[in-house]
Amino acid sequence: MRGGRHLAGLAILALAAAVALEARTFVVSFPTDPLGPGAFPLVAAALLALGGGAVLLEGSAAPDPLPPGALRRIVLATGSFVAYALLLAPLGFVTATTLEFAALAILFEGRILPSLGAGLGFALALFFLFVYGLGLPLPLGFLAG
Amino acid sequence: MEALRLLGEGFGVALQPLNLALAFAGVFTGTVVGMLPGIGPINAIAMLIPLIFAVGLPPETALILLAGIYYGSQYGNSISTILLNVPGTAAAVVTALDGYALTRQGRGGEALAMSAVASFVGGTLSIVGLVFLAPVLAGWAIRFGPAEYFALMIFAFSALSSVAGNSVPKALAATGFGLLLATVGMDPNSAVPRYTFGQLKLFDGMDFVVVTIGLFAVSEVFLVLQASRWGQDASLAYGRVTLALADLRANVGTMLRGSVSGFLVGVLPGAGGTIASFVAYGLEEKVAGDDARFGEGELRGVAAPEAANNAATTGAMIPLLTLGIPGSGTTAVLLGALLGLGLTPGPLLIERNPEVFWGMAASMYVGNAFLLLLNLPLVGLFVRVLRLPRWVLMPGVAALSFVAVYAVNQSAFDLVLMTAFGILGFVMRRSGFPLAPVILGLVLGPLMEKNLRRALALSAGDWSVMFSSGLAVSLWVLAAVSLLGPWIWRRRRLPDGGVGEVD
Repeated sequence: MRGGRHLAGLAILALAAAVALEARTFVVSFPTDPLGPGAFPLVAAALLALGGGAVLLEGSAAPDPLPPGALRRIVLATGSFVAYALLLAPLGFVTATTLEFAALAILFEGRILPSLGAGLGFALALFFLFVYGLGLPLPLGFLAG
Repeated sequence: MEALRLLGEGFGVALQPLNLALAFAGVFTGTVVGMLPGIGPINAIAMLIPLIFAVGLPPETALILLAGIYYGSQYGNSISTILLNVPGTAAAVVTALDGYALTRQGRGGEALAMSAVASFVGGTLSIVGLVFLAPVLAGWAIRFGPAEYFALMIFAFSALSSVAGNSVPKALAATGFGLLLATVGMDPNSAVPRYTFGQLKLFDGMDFVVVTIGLFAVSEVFLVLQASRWGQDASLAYGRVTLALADLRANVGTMLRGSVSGFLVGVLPGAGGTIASFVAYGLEEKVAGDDARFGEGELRGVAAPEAANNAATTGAMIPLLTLGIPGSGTTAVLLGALLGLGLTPGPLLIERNPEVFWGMAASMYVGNAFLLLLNLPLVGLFVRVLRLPRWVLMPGVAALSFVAVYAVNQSAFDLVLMTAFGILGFVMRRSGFPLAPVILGLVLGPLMEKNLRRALALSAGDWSVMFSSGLAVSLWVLAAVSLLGPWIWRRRRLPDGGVGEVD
């Protein structure tokens, strides 16, 4: 992949351009605020453009290829994070956290039963610490219903 | 003396039962997260912030807890460094040279003891510097106007960019990205929504806790997941954790030099514990001359960096508290916490909230005493934590991240956002982009914009106001020198070295 060296710089420049274009739509001006809301995003865009341009010029070595199986593990983990976010309210904290902990533990080559056990222990400990120790609300889910 | 009287009052705050207990909890947590490779104090602090807000701890108590994690982590980071040659944080990289060599010679216990004692010396001596220097700097900074503040923040960014990672352009881009994140949400002056994509959840802006945990903790889970093997199965035989009196005496000078140089480096923005430990190690090599065998298991090679990185941590609190300018990712998160607690770090903090500043200073003495106790007789306890398998540790980190992020707004959207930043952090780390400037930009961005707009409002839009005072101009010059100086210097030293080969 010869384009890999320039990928990072080009992506940053594209971001800078998008930010600057969008900033032009922020036009509100008060006499007490001559700069308005659009100026500071332009500062950020300028830094991005400067940094991105320099990265493009010096080239950014493409990172080492992922070891075999790594991409699959990372995609699965990401999917489990999103699933956790969606299932937290319906399943409740303890159930969702037990399952998520176990799923990750298995991805990290833990055995199934110990992973579930450690997940349940951890979830219960966090639940009691937060709800009873600190008084923070955590979703109870179907257990409450 | 005035400072001593105020410090006495600080002990009145620090010795209250809750503050004492939380100082202990803080330094204990700090030791654990400092020791575990990849978890780090920045994650621990970010995870505790929503809890602190929810429970409603008073500011001084919260700072005692969070500062405890910060300086406690400098004790813990040497444990895994010495025993496993896996530095807990970057500040302990130098300690690995002689510390791990000592372990291989079966003298790991001596190295651990030396490290604990040197950390204690560096940690406590530097508080003296904090107590005397902070009020002086605050008195000086009181003359700063918006233009000077803006220039000072530019200085902080360029100082961090010049040392974070090994590419100044990448650090600049990361800074720009952080500033961009800071503008997301409703503009407080004009109520114009910026970069929200119509998402109502983004109108309040990016929460720095969500971003920090995503970028640092979640990306760490991905990084470890990517590696097929993790760490090493060391036998962890280290013998008795004691130090001969003669060795202690021989290292007094080393520890004093390390403390002083570490403290001074720590006060500078950007530098922090990592550079402090390198400087102290280099200094000690020069002082020792040829008779020392640095790199082959020299106790002084442990004492110097460990005294220095602990002193640097204290030094870094000075610009944070008296100027409101953090010099690193971790201190940026601390600044975010202080702002969230309703404090305004800056020249008036010490005067307006003496209980916060003096209470924290006094509690640092108490905390360092706890740390000496934890790291000498009880070090075996922490070594057991190092034996936790990663299939327990990493899911645990993920679960703690979820709880902390969920506690911010009770929102599933934040969990998805955190995951997205986790992916981004993973890609950035693999491509060599530093993460600390993103957090610094996110936390300082709103303050920077406020000062910029205020300065230009006062001058009715005339940009020359940014360079109108000698102080502002000198800060701009300092910013330029700190950004370009090291870069030009490295290029000159390595005329043939292509870009990217410079470490």
